[in-house]
Amino acid sequence: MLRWRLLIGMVSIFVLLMAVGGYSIWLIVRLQSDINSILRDNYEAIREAHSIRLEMLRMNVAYLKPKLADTLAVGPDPLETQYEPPLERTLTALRLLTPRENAAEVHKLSDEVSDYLSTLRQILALPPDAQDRYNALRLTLQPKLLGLTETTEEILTSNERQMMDAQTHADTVASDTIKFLIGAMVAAIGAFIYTYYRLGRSLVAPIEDLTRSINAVRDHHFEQSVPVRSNDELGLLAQTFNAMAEELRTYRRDTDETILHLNRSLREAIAAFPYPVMLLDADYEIWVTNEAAESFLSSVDSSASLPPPILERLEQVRANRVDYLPEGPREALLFRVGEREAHYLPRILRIFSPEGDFAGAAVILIDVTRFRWLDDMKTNLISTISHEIKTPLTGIRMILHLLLEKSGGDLTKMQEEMVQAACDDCERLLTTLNSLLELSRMEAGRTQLDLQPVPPRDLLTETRDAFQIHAVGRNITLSVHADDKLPPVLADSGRMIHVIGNFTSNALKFAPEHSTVRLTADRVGNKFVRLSVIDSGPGIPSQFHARIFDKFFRSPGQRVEGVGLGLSIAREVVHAHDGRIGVESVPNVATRFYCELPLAS
Amino acid sequence: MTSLTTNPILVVDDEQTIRLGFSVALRSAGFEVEMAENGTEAVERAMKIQPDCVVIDLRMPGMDGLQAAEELRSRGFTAPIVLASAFADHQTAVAAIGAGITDFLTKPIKPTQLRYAVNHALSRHVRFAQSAYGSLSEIPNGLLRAYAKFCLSQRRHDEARIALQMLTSESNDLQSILLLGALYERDGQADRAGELFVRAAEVHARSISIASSTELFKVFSHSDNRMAD
Repeated sequence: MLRWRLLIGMVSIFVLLMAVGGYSIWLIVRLQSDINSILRDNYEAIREAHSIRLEMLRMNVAYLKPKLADTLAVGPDPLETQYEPPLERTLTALRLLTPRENAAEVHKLSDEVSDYLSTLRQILALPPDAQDRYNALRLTLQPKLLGLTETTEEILTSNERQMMDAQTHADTVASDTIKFLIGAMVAAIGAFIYTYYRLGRSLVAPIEDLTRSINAVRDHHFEQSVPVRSNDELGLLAQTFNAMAEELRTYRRDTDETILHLNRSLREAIAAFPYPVMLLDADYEIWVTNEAAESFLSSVDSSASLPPPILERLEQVRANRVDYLPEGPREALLFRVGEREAHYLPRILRIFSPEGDFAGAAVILIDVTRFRWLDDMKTNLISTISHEIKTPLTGIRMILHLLLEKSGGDLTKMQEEMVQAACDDCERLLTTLNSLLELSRMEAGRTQLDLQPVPPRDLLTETRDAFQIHAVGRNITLSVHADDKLPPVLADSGRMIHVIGNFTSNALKFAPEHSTVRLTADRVGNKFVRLSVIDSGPGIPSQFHARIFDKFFRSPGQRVEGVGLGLSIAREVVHAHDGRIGVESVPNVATRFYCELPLAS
Repeated sequence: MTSLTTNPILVVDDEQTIRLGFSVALRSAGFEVEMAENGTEAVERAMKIQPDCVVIDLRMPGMDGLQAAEELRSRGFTAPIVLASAFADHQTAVAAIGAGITDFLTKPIKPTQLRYAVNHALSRHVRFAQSAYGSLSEIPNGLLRAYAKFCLSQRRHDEARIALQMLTSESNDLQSILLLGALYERDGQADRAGELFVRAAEVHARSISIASSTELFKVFSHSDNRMAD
């Protein structure tokens, strides 16, 4: 549409210009030819008229006078041969040249010339020297000549008038043309201005509207719509833009609603969360909290926005680029909340900006006070019960030992066997009790480790030496595979030997006779060394792998004695080393119990 | 062995089985044994019969073993007192030193361990109680630790401290370090005590897993039974 309008505008101006130009050219050409033809005709006529006068004059002077004076030599009369033809020719030319309105004068002139010539002939026919002849000449011919001259003069004047008329006409035409051209120019300017104005209105205004609206949209004002001024391309553009703005409006409304809804849900969820939840920005300024967090912050005596231990962990999280997600209630932080002591397990999750930068963190403080209390209760319970059992056991053991010593007199063979059996059971019970105590101590975090750099190989060889006799008894080979170049690990060697010993003892229980139990050490990544004990026994079904390190867990169908504390203790020991413990098992092929200890460096 | 005692050994425990066991174990080694069921009775009996040695349980209803020992010492009782306990913790060890305990046994105890502990307590006591040394320099190096322990049992803490300082400055003797640490702790010098416990841990780092002083005292009470003075 717009293209058509542009084309029409341009074409109309073009046609107008062409028409004016063409017309002007035509006018000029016509004017020129008119003037030329008038000038030429009149000029010819004037010349012919002059030539008549000249002929007459010549005739009068050169012919008439001598003719009248004396008789001319006999011969053809020169009048007929010498003077009449040019006169006739001139008259014909004059007749041809003269416009119709002057034809009468030319005709008159022609008549007068004929009259004059016939009169002249008559006179000449008179005898020479006759008075009549002279008189006739003077009285008849002279006035005719005068009349003839006058007629010629009239023709001349008429021609000159015609020339003047042509001049005047040309002037009129020229001035008309100038007026017309000025009018055409004014019209062209008008048409141009009109076209410009219309095009400007229909082209620039919509674009300006659009620009304004686009800027508004850029500033997130989607309410702005563009007026549809026409149904051309720009109108279509405006419509499309409005449709897009509408879409954006809808989208934003939807998005706003979604965000609002989400935000509300989130806040409600956070508010409903019984534990303190705080959302922090990158400067650790709190921007969202829940009621629990408010009361926590107000009751914790801290001048800073957050208690220092939490800030410390935040810094760690930020520096290490790992979320802080502790699991054990032992990692809880102790806060004095009002009158009571509360243990909070801080969980710190990083929040990222869309560019992936650190934009803050979510801090959730899980109240594990009750867990801790229960855990302490359990530990104390175990400890108390163990001691309560231990005391009578001491007496029993003492007495059994005394009996075996035969301090109270000799025993029969059977009695001795019975007492020995009781004594063995007593020892085993004591071992279990000690394990329980050890575990409760470990869990209570009361056991400190003596961490020293230890070559991994040493841990394995010492374990092997301790179990060598045991292995030989079962026809099992214990082999150590460890590279001497392995860097030392940071370990409490006594406890770690105990852990690896536990693995080994289990392996020896389950490994088939004449097989090999391998003790290996390998590097895992940059920070850990993995110590493994691998046997080819029946292994552990994978569904029990997660529970095998739990207290008192016995995999179903296990016949071998033990209370199931060894692996729990092992796990506690390894965790106390900041290490990892695990099991991998392919039944009857290889079962690997392993622990990974951090390198000493 | 019998030559060491002229008076009976007093066994104090609220558990009848243990009293029976201890008495049989000691009698079979030739000792004469008297028994008491609690702390109060123990003090009464001890003051009356003047036993050559008291083996006393830590946990008892009423007056406990440490309180009884302290009461006995304050009444001028000088014979060795061996504390038997199922608890081998740091506080107990430090308190035991303050109470004038001669030795420390961790339950459960085998008869041989009991006899060993009583014998050593007696021999040490007999050696130092009757022969008065003019100064510490007169004591042979091999007996210095035993002498320090004797001083501790008599609550002669200053003498014990000097002896232990001499010992620990010359050697890395674990028992001496632990005893001196406990002594410092009892006197409220926690920093010095801490240093000594750390040193003790270092001394034994690679042989046995010991880290806390509780563990150390456990080792101490066991090793005491193994090592001759």
